[in-house]
Amino acid sequence: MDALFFNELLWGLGAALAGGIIFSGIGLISGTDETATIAPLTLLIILLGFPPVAVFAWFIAAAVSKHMTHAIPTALMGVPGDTMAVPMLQDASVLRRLGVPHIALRKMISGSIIAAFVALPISVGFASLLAPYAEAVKSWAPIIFTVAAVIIAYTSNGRWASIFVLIPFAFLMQGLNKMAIAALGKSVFISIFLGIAIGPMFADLVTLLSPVSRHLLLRSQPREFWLAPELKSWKGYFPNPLHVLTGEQKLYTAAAAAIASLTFTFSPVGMTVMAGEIISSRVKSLYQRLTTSLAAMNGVTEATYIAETVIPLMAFGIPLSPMALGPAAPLFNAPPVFTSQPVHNLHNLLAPYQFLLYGFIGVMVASLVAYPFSMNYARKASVWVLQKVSQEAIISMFTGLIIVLSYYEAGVVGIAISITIAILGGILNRYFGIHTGVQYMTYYASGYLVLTLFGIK
Amino acid sequence: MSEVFGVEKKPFADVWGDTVDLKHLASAMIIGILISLTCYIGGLNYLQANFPKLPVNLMTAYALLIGILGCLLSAIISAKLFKPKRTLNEDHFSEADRDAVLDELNIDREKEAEELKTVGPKIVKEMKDLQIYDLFAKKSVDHKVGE
Repeated sequence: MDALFFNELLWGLGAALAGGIIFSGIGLISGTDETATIAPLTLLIILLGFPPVAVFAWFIAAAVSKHMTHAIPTALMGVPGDTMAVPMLQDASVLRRLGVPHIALRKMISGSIIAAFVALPISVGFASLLAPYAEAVKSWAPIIFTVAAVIIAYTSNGRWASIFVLIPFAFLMQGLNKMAIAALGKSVFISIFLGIAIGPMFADLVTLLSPVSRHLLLRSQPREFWLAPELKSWKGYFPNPLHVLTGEQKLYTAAAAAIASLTFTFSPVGMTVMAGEIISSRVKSLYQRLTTSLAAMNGVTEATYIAETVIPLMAFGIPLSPMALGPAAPLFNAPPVFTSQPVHNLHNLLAPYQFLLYGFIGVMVASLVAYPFSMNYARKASVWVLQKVSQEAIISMFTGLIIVLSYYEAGVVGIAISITIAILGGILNRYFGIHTGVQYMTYYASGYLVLTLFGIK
Repeated sequence: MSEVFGVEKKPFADVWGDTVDLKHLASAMIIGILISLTCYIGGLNYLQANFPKLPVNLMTAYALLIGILGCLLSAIISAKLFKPKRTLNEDHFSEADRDAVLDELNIDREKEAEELKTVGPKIVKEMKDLQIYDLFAKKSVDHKVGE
């Protein structure tokens, strides 16, 4: 028993370390989508047969590390690291223009560390409270997915367009799935999922291929980036996040993180904006206000990353949050290893104490890898990425990734399915505000919708 | 460095949030598809030929690992071949700039100076270390927009 535990512990530590290092690097590239990067690599380690504890520790370390290094482009260049960073841009930009962008960065990532440590136990606790309702939730899952799809559609930028497109899009996805069944005798998930994730890129490609729309994206010169000067103001390699924030800032961050952990089904961006507004109205003096709200807002995004993954996974085993539908999707559904209908995934394979222990390992490793790295090398690393890693190289990698993964799942049929979904989903996303969350939720609801409305099983 | 005749513009475009050269992008995508798919299929064939006893799902998973390493390889090759289309500028700050920023943001200097008195010692020390304390502490009466 002890040997088994020790073995699992080593797996967890190793996987967390790998996830932490890899995603500290990926996080530096501004604009890299969480879903398109974390999901495929998580899928890979699941398929490679990593033990469940290692998969979970890997994921938490990856998500927390990426979130941490993502603060670098946000603070130093005014370019959002990811979609969740958008609400922080304005405050970060004021501090940047006052010449103290490194302070914005330090406050942000120190806030996210504190939030991670607060959010994990709260999420595990809350999930245990919800667990008794798991059976009911599971049996109602298809209807819950449908209702959730309508709600997410209504709250998306596309609003009525998203609702209007819901049934046709469900019909399309099930139709493509039936083609896969006709060709290979099995349904597909990875191809559809990745198609949705990479959609915006394909929408851009189609826009550029057509002479009618090309002018929308053409540019006459390279993009300009403004980078703040280096200012280091602490000694040694490991800064202490508790010293970076004042008592009041720690309190606000922890409280915001705790509340955000309990609202796991809401939009993370909405929660972040709300936390920022509330704190801005309470804290006086510009500098104090900006640094406090940045720490707390970044804490909220960190907490939602963790809570939105842990709570649905631990309590229900079905993906019922924006995170669970996006970056964390393979933890719920990675056929043939994990499935969510019926539930056979980390929900069944991990005990509550394991969620807590391996979650902590993930957070710990991220704090030891990504935190000091971002604090010490933020500027050097951003310069390196901006000067050496071209967008062409990033797109080259993602094109390869989507082709290989969908070919792995369903051969050339898989490639055809993911490109079809990518083009249509991408256009709906780019031009009509029907974002990927709506599309994922529609996918999960599509089986039930098509069966109920058209009688197609 | 490629030679450009006349005033022909490079076909720059924004794809997936950053600027690319369209010809480079086309080549990079072909590189990505060819290398990674070759790695996956080649890897699978190699494993099938040399480790026939490996369970099927593990065999395809290892092949997938090789394929994903292929993706990484194609990223490295594309990064070597195609340089980023970005210009990097350094922000510079001076006392006057900071003043200008506050003016631009319509900051109420009187109110800020008042509110600063309620701020705790730790924040005050931080602000002094960053040399922005005086910026907020001075009253608008003393405040003159200088060069």
